[in-house]
Amino acid sequence: MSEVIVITSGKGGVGKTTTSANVGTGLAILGKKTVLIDTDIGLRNLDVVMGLENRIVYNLVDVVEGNCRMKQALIRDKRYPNLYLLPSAQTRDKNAVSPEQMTKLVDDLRDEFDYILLDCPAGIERGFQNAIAGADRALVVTTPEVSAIRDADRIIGLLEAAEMGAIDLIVNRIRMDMVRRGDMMSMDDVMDILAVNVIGVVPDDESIVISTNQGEPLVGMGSLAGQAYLNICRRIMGEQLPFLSLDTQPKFLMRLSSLLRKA
Amino acid sequence: MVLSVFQRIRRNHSGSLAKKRLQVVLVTDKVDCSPELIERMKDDMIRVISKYMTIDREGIEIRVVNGRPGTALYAAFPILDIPSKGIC
Repeated sequence: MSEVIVITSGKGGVGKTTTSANVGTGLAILGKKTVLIDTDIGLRNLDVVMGLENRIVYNLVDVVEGNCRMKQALIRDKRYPNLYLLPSAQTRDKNAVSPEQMTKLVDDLRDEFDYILLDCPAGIERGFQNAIAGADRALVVTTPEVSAIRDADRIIGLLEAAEMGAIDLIVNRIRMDMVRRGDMMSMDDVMDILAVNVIGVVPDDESIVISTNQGEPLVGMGSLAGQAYLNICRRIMGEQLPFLSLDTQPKFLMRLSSLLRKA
Repeated sequence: MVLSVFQRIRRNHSGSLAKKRLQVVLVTDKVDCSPELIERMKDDMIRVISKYMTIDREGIEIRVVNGRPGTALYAAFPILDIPSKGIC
């Protein structure tokens, strides 16, 4: 059974594309045949985050317009035998594709793949409507900031109105040192406000910047963020896993700071 | 030095401030009314409920949820004490 998952957020810059790249790669590592689709027509980015920018011949709009066959446009990632990318078009705009065309394109891939991941553009206009049209479930990415959470709330409302099958939240770029100081909202705070299931928490980790620079997703690698992404993939596949402890501080310091907070 | 440590502990943490501001803004986003109106409604509800039980005014949460049956207003008032001779 294949599953179509849209990765969305409303606000730009919260880590949709990085999340798409890492979750897609993680699912492939776990043995699932996965295709990543960049639906951000006009602002193509997933290819460069994946390190596949030099291998693009055809793109999503070419497939929709019948300029090529699907097989010709799919880029196979040589590092992971189960992973494919359908890149977006850079010189077209969102109106080049309709929600009906996207739904058909996605449905054509269902036979071939276990997971079809759609990297959604920012905003709530045509690009968003295209990306969610063919999806079975949604991953909403947010950061613990007022602007990102407000937009996530709006997106969740729109997904509910569109009768999306399941909606899960990823809290990205959390900084435990700031949460401990009381200067950043915690996972529980975000859950309280948005009243939606949290499927993963990803720490703010400089290894993500490095991996993006290199064009190599870090899922499954040694870093805390890499582990967090792999756990998200396992939860998508239905495993029940406890959340990672993101506390890297020595116990003594934690106890001292909690004492100070009570004072 | 001693004073600055004291101020650090005492100061209002920005995380909880963010949460409170968000809760108000999300309600006003959905019901399309001003934050002042929400605050006035909250004050009215506090006045009514306080007649019957002691509530934690700092812990009150108000939320508007867009669900399947329609838009609903949810309010949570943490109860500190219910007088035994009250109506309850």
